[in-house]
Amino acid sequence: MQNPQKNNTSLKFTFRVVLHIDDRDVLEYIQKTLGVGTIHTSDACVTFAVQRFEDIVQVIIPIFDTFPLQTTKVLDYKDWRTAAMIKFQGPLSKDSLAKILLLKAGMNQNRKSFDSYCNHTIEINALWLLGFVEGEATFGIKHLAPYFSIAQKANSARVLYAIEAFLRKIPLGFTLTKNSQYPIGSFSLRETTAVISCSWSNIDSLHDYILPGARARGASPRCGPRARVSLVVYHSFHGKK
Amino acid sequence: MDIYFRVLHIKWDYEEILFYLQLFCISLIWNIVYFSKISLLYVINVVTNFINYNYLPSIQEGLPSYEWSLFYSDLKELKDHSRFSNIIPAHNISCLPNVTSDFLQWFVGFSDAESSKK
Repeated sequence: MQNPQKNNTSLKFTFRVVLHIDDRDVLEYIQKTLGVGTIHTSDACVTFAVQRFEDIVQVIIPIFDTFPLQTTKVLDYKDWRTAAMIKFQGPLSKDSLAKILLLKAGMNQNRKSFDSYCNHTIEINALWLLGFVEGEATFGIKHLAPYFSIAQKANSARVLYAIEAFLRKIPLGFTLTKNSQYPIGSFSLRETTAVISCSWSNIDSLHDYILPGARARGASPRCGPRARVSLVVYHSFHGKK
Repeated sequence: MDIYFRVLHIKWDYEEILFYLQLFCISLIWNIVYFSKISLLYVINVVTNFINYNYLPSIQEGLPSYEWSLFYSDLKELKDHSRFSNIIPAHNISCLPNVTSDFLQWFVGFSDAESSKK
């Protein structure tokens, strides 16, 4: 939301996703599928942005109303939606403008209270998780062993616990390994940055549960190849084909 | 069956051959299980998996190993939605009649990770 008092322009709402330029294809796919928004490139970043108010009201808001966000980002969405609905209802009065500016002042980086997030019901499903993994997960190799991890700000820890519980219950996708352990995540908190991460490093559970699960859901422009590379590297080091 | 074979001067019909073939296979599997001391469940698992994935193009194209073939099975598994029980059924968003709920749920997860609203 741009401040109308500052630059004497109308109130503008923006939904945007910024990625590294290598991932331009993902944003183009999103733009093409939704049929809204623009894409522009600057330096090493590419941005997908929806700014047309009609597109925000008719496309973006119905999507997030139908399929709710799961992290603390849902609080920003609710405030942003409230502000958009105030604008949608008609010409802005001083009161409504003040209300919108108040909402804007408490959003994103300025948010201090996350209390209402405790009442938000978290429901993880495979497709949401796949999208979330695209953005937040890491597939890496440490001490010649692959790991999969997801990190979040500590105030979104609830969503990590829910993901860990969800992954424990995904079905076995590769059944040749005997007594394969189901995926159990280990949590660690970095106090200096207030970031909590959950990682899975058991090779059997990665290979037998998580990778087939991701593959079954159609992973993915970005994370699919990384996950495979991690496992292939592991196998090459450990003598598997 | 009308097909007859003459083996060792004995007339065997097709069903009889099939019966002895089955006996041979069962005894072969039993011997493998008994002498290699691996569980029967494991052998059944291997056979089942082989049958399940036998159609894969990677095997037909002669790629180096069974395990590699799994990496190329995406297309088939994409259709296998039954493996996940808590998929939200399709919702109609009136302005997006041609967009699947699968994509929208993925998009919301992706937005949870990457988006910002101003």
